[in-house]
Amino acid sequence: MAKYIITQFGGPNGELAASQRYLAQRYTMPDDEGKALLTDIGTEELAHMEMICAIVYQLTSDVSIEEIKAAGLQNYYTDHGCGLYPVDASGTPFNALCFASMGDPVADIAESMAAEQKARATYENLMDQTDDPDVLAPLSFLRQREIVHYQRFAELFEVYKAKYYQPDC
Amino acid sequence: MNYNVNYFTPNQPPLFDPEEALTLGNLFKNLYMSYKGFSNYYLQPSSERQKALLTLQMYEFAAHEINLYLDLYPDNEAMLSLFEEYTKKAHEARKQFVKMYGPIEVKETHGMPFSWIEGPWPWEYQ
Repeated sequence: MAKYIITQFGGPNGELAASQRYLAQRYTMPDDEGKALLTDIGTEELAHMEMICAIVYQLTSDVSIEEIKAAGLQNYYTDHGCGLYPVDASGTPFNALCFASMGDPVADIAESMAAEQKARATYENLMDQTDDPDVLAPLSFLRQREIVHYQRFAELFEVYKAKYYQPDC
Repeated sequence: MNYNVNYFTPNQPPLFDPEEALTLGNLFKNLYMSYKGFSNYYLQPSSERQKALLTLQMYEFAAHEINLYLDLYPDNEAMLSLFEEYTKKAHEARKQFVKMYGPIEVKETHGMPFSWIEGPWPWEYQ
């Protein structure tokens, strides 16, 4: 599972992308509510990145070469050993293109809402692939966080839409 | 699946208690959605240290959830007083943990030798 869970570290819908997206977007939010929400959710995502890295680290510590081969981790192992390196599930390194920052509150919060939904869907795809309760529990926890964050962003989006997405504004 | 379509959370959203909230990853009952029937089990601390850490995390998590809520509704009195209650409980739990098991942040480090560097670190089995 480490091979796939690592996408929530280095993949386009992962926690590294989420934290950097929100912590970049926060500078140009038009009001205190938006600045606070992006700061607080962005900071929470840094903690989620630590959780994902901890899961990958624990799944790959003390494993044999045979287990590395069986898990399909040879490509990763060749380049990174058991070190933590941000890649997606197919091994593509983290790409900053996956977090958009437009300086426009409506565009940015719409982006953030989509990001939360994509992350939720990714956690569900990951949950489909394991029955290890020690892996399912944190994945399920992190999935719930996406749902709560999505709701908060959706509430902020409604306010911004009414204020900044009107004819001639 | 019961997707929540209400954009605006009610003024007095129904809440889980902090222990259940930490277990589920969600303080808000009206936002909770399970996936394919999976439900998190209560974390079973296997040591006094884990128990103290869990108490701290439980109150910090509940306070953080209310923090995100208050970011958008800063004049909600009921939620503000709950935030203060959980923050206070988190502070107490943190003091207790630090006294027994050492610093969580470097500024809580006291005495010789410099105990900040002692594991377990957050990613290690504890």
